Formats: sequence, structure tokens, C-alpha cells
Amino acid sequence: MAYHVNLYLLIFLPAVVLCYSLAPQRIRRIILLLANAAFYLSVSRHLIVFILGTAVFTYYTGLKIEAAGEIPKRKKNWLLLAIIALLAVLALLKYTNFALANLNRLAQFFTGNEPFTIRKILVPLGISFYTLEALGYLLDVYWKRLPAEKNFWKLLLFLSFFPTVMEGPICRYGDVGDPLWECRRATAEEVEMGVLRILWGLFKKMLVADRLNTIVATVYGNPDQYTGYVTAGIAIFYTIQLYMEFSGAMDMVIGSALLFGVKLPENFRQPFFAKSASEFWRRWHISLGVWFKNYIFYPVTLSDLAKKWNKTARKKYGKHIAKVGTSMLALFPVWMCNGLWHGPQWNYIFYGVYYFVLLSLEVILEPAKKSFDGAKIFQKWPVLLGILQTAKTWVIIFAGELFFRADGLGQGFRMFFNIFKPYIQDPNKTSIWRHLGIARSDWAVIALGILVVGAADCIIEWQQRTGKTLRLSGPNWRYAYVFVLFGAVIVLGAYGAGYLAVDLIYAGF
Amino acid sequence: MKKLRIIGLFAGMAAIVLILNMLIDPVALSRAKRVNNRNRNYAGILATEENMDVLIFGDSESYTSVSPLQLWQEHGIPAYNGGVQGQCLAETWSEMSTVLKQQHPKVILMETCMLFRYHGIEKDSQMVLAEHLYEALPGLRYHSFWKSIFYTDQDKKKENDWQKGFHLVSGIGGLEDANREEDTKKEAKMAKLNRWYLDRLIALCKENDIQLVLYSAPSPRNYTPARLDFLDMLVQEKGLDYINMNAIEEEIGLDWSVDSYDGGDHLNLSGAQKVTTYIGDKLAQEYQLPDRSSEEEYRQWNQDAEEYAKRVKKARKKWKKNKKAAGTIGEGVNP
Repeated sequence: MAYHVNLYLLIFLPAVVLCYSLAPQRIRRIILLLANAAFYLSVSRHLIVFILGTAVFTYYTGLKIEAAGEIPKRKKNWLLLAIIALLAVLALLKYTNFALANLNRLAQFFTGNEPFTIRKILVPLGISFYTLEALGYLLDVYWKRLPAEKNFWKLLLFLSFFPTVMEGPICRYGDVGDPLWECRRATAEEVEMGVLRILWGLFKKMLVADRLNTIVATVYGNPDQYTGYVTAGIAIFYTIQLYMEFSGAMDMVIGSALLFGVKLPENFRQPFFAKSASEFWRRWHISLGVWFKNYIFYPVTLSDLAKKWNKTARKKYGKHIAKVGTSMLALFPVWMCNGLWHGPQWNYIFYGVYYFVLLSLEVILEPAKKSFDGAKIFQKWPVLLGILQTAKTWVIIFAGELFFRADGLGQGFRMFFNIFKPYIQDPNKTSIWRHLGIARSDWAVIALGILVVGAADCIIEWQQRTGKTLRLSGPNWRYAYVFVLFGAVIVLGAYGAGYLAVDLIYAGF
Repeated sequence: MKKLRIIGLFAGMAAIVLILNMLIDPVALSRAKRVNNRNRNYAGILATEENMDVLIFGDSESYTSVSPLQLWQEHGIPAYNGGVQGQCLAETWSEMSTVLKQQHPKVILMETCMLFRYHGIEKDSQMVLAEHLYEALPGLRYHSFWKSIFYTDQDKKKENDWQKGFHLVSGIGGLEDANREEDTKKEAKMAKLNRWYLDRLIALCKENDIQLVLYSAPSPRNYTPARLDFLDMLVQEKGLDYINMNAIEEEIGLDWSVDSYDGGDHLNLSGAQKVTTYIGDKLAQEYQLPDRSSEEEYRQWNQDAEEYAKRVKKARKKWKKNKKAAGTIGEGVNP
């Protein structure tokens, strides 16, 4: 039961919200826990034991870490046990087949045989998300940022909260645990905002993403038939599809949580305004970036090895080299984990390495960049610099997503090199864009959707940069937005006859 | 105040749905030929003013096996094929219960392949919910009707309703071995949801004094021996009329090397013509359906039949060409 399907939007969510709102506070917790179980069972059936097991194990080890108190070795041992066990379950379910397939390839190369039989392994819903949440909680307890939770049900409610369990955002227990357990009724404003966010998400997904999915799937289904500007165009369209789809799903998630009076962290912040790859990742899938920053980047940067390197390198090679070395030391595990987290495919690992190289280059070239940015022409026309930086970042993003969507690294490279071959238009056909599975009318809706979402992102970005606000908020405006979005989704949405329902992309991770 | 604001929000949304429904539904039905995709046949039936004696429902096996205008040419039986690709019984229920409010057929032919269709409880529940919504708010079914603003000349050519829901395909994809073998992927059982819908459909036909006839179009790919045995038991249990065309392929004169366009899954024009002739004879003789070809009310049907005959002639020529190069899958004539 994904967040965009009728069963969720018209039956499940309204029923849970209604029961929750009418019930007294103590009962509301039970209602939420039951709703979480029902939601999970509807997708993963018996695999619910994995999330229950994770909750029990996290609860128990959290208490043990705290109880170890001032005995660092015992404390560390409990933490290591927890990390190894949680990651082992994740690896076993998600990466076993990937490892076996690669071992088979190696064996095939050397011996001509494939020794391992690959069997389908069912992966529990949201395992990549709730495992990171559980690890984050345990590390926070270890670092004494949080006391260990004494109430198992509270921790279970946090780990299994149905709006976040499928696609995130990856929340911190310290931020969301208490408001969730508080179980207060949503205010009228929260209900209005919740409905608005859900409709905004549906608008992005059903008007733009699901339509773009058709053309993207057509080209990725026959990658060698398309070259030049068509392949380059598809990389752009896929990036837009992924943004509309994932940020749209996040809008639905955040909107759903608001109906229970819970404010979740934002996962996107106008990513296409980024002026560098590192800034892009501070605006795109923010909760994943923050998790890696808090639990991998900073700990590695502050590790003894990094400190030692920093001290020695500063003396021997200077400040810049020391910084480059420390950054690369911390960035490497972050981006390897980022790539692997997305799934057991080489193109995801490549995607991680791609950003590791780019972010390392950003650090290496920092002095050169400073002098480039300080050029006279850019001082005279700073807008020009902004445009150049944004354009560069877009190229980086589009190229990365081209590999991200590919069915394996080989296809990614083939498509990448296809961009540099000219596309020869069939003289008997009109524009190629009309032969990719969607009608002219669908293109018109895609253009409209991109314009509306683009304009909204521009306004939000302008407001955040200047601190000013347009007089376009308040209850009456909210009503207007809700009604317009609702009408647009009903009339222009890609649902029903002629459209295929498209599953949420990140639910697969 | 808080409650009022929330009630106002949802009341406003409900009003929007109702207004859109009121606007879209009549406009779409008044231009039914411009309704696209799987709603086309559904809107086509609703937009037909003349009463039809036979309505056909089912999935792709139905609209590739029985041609309404051939029934008209041979027996003067006005009919419409309401089948759509991958139709499920929830859709059949929704379609049938709506069209029976204005159509009064004597016989409903229901192709049986869809009885075995089941996508799992979650997907099917979503579909059932959608169909109930469409029943209550039919305008939502045609929500993308605005697309006809972008019609091209080519699209306009497709508007003609000469096929009455039938899909005319001239390609040949011969089947080398037409022996039916068991296929574990083709389950020979009906989901509980489908049984429930079948019972509702049977009751609906009884209520409207309509003869419900189940038929299995010839299709070695879909009808395994186990499925055919299951259907025999089912029709006995329910006391339904049933035409199993898989058991009488020789009598019909089917030749699997030239009568299918996709290796024994669906029939092409040649196969459909043979099946339609057989079904037409049966309808005229056993169900005493009258010949209405000379009735003034049905004058348009004769014109449609003329257009249909032209198309069939062209398609037969293509089919003959394909026959010479048998084994290749040709292009369909119909959209």
C-alpha cells in the first residue's frame, strides 16, 4: 500500500486519522501502533518479524549500552555487537545475491562453473530506512546525546511509524520520538497543511513523474536505439522524474504525519538551485546526507587516524593538503555507503564513487576555485558566475542520474557514450519526442507541472534567501491551493484508463 | 471554529469532485467517439441510442473473437463488444451495471478468461475501490477527456465507430503445435473476489431478465485442460449456459497456422470471422434473436456495416499477403 494509491489515500489514512482524532490520548498510541502493523502487514506480510526483531534488539542493546556506563570497553562491545548484528541482517537480506552473483562471475571466468545457486530473497519493507534509524539511535545513546529509551513501545512506534517506514525521511529519535509518543491531536492549521502537502505530492507524482516514467522506460528499455540529444534529454527527464517522484512522496509522507500532529524533517530543499555537488547533497535526500554526516563523516574526521594525519600533514605539506587528506578519508566511507545503501548494483556503487571523486575534487580545487570566482568579470557580473556554477552542477547531477537509473554499470556507460554519437532522425517520423509513448497532451501537462513546481521552488528559495515572504500564505490562500491542486490532480492526473500505475522508486531501496 | 475550518476544507473538496463529475460526464458521453483507451468501448455502449440485443464483455480474448458488425451482417443482431484489455470482473460489474440502466440486451456473452485474473489482494482491492468510485462518479472515469483538445487529424480518423468494440487484426503468428498442455503458470482456480463478482453478475442478469452466456474463445495459450475442466464444473455448479469453443475447433474450422496473430493467444480476423459465424448461428437459433436489419431505427447500423465490410476487405487482402509469408506477425489494422 504505497502512499499515492487510492486504498491509502481514501480508506487507510482517513480511517486512521479519524480514529486517532476521536480517541483519548492513551488509546491514540495503540491506534498508531496497530495502524503501523496493518500498514506493514499489507506490504510485507510475515516479514514484519524483521522490523519487530530490530525494535526489540535495538531497545535491549540501547539499555545495555547505557548500563555499561563508565566501562568504555563493555560499552563499546555492546555498540559493536549492535552495529554488526543490524548491518549483518541488512547485508544478508539485501546483498547476499549480489555477492553470490559476483562470485559466480569470477568462478565462471576462472573455472567455467557457477558454484552458487541464487534464490530470491524477500526483503522487508523499509529495511534500509529503519536500520539507519536504529543505528542512529544506538550511536546517540553511545555518545550520550540521548538517554536509552525505557519504553519499548515508544521506540517501536518511532521505528515503524507508517508514514516514514517506506521511504523515510530517516529521522533522529531525539527529534521525532517524543512528538510521536505525545500523540496530540493535529491543529486545524496542521490538518490544512497536511492535506495541502499530500496534494502537492500527488501533483508532482501524478502529473509529471508518472508521465515521464513512460518515456524514460522506453529509452532505458532500448538504450542502443537512442543516441545524442535524445539520450542526454532522457538523463534530464529522468532527473526531473526522480525529483518529482521522490520529493512528491516526501510531501505525502510529511503531509500524512502532520495529520497526526507530527512534524517530520524536510528531505528536499530546492536542489536545482545548488551551485556545487556538495551543496546539491545538502538539498537532495537531506535526511540521508545528514545521517552520513553525523554518523560517518564527523566520527571519521574526529578519529585518531584523521587527527594524526592532520597533524603530520600540516607540518609536512601545509594546511590545504592536510584538509584534502582528512576530507577524502571521511568522504570515502560516506560515499561508498551511500552507493551501497541504494542497492546491490554496480551502478549504485559507481554513483557513490562518482560523487566521492567530485566532492574530493571540490576540496582539492578549492584554492583554484577561489581565484577563478574572484575574476574581474564575475565581480562585475556576479549573476554570470551563479549561472555558470548552477549549469556545471546540473551537468554533474544529470550525468550521475543517467548511471543511477541504468540497469547495471555496463548500460550506464553505453548510454553515457551514446550521448556523444549524433542522433539521426528517421525522415519518415516527426519529432522523436512524439514516439516515446506519450501523447502531445501529456507533454503539455508535463510542461505545466514543471512550470508550477519550478515557480514554487523559486518562490521558496527567494523567501529563504531574503527572509521576505509573499502575501500568499494564510488560511484563505491554503484553501485556494488545496482546491486548485485537488482539481488539477483529478483532471490532469495520470491515473485510470490509459496510464499504468507506477510504484514509488525509493520504496524499492 | 477549528472543526468548522476542517469541515469546510473537506466540503470544498467534495464540491469540487461533484462539480467536475457533473461537467465531465455528459460532455464525454456526448462525444463518446473521442473517449480514448480502455473507456472507449464503455462510452461507446453508453452513447449508442439504439437498443442492442447482445452485449459482449471480457478481456482481449473477447474483442478479438466476436465481431458485432459481422453478427449484424449475417443475422441482423445489434451487438457491441465492451471487452477491454486485461478486464477484471470488478470492471465488468461496473461496466455492466451502468450500461444496463439504459440498454436492455436479451443476451450477454461473457468471455471466461478474465475469471482467472487475479493480481493479489492489494492490487485488486485498489481496482475494486476505483471501480466503485467510477460507478458513483462516472465523470472521473473520463477525467482525461480534455486530451481530445490536442486531437490530430490522425486521431480524428480513428473516431469512426465502425468496429463496435471489435479489434480487427490481419497479422498471422501461427502456432506450430496446437496441443494443449498443462501450464502451472495458468492457474485453474478462481479467486474468492472473482466468485463473489460472478455471483453478483449472474444475479444482475437475472434481475434484468437477461440470458447470461459464458463462452471461452479458442486460445490454446490460455485454456489449459485443467482450466477447461474447471470451467465445466463451474457452469454446472452455477447452472449457466456455456460455449466452449476450444472443444469444437474442428467444427468451427479453425486452422491455428493462420487464424491467430500471436501464436495461439488471440485470434486474428480470419479466426474471429469463424468464431463470430458460429456464435451468430447459435444466438439466432437457440436464443431466438430477431433480425433487425430492416428496422428503420437501425438504419445507421447498415451504414456502419458497409464501412466495416470495406475495412474487412482490405484486412483480408493483408491477411492473404501475410498467409503467403506465414509465421510473421503482422500489424493490426485497428487502433
